[in-house]
Amino acid sequence: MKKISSSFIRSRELILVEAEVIGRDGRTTEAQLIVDTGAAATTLTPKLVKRIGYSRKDGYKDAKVQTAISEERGYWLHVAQLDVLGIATPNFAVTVFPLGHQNLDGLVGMNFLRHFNFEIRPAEQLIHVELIEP
Amino acid sequence: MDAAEQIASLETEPLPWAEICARYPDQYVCLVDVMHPPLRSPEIITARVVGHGATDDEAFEPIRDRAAQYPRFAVRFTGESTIPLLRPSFVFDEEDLKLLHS
Repeated sequence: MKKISSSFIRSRELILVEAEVIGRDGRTTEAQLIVDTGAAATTLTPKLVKRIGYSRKDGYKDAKVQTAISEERGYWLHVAQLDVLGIATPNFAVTVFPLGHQNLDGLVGMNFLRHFNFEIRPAEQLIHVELIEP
Repeated sequence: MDAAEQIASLETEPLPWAEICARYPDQYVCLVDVMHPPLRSPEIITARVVGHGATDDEAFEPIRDRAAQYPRFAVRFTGESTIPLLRPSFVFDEEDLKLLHS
């Protein structure tokens, strides 16, 4: 089984990894994403996807978000490619919603992570990903 | 001065991240030619600054319409975030669950 190792930063005890998101016409932005095993969906911020050519009208479905006082709406979008933890995933479905934080561009959720076995080693600040044979 | 000359005048030489933070404190910066440590580390060794400002839009504006010249970039904030992470609680319907499992 092929294993890929990536380093991460512990940022206020969150696991911060480097990613690349390829958008419309191949324009590519680097992104800082939090690895979040408690999130079902991978989320990118509206500002990040706008910079690579997408807007809400490229979304194909609303995504409902429950807050403490109301329900808000993000949207689902297929980005041309998401590269994170050394894995390139074309035509990947993400939710788009603002996350507030100024140093973060999104969350890597379980809809990405579930395709691999992975091991997070906080002391070494490494994540090992094991590709699963089809 | 045309648009290309204006960007050229803004564009820096490759700078260490600490120097970028010192030159543009608590600002957003738009970076190209970003060099990272091995193993896809999020840390930045050096990068060239092609835009900066109080907002990410302002930092990105100089290269927004110059995809051919700048096909790859990063926008970063040089300070500590003053806004906490808002972790969204999505409410998924059946169609959403199919997307998640695809």
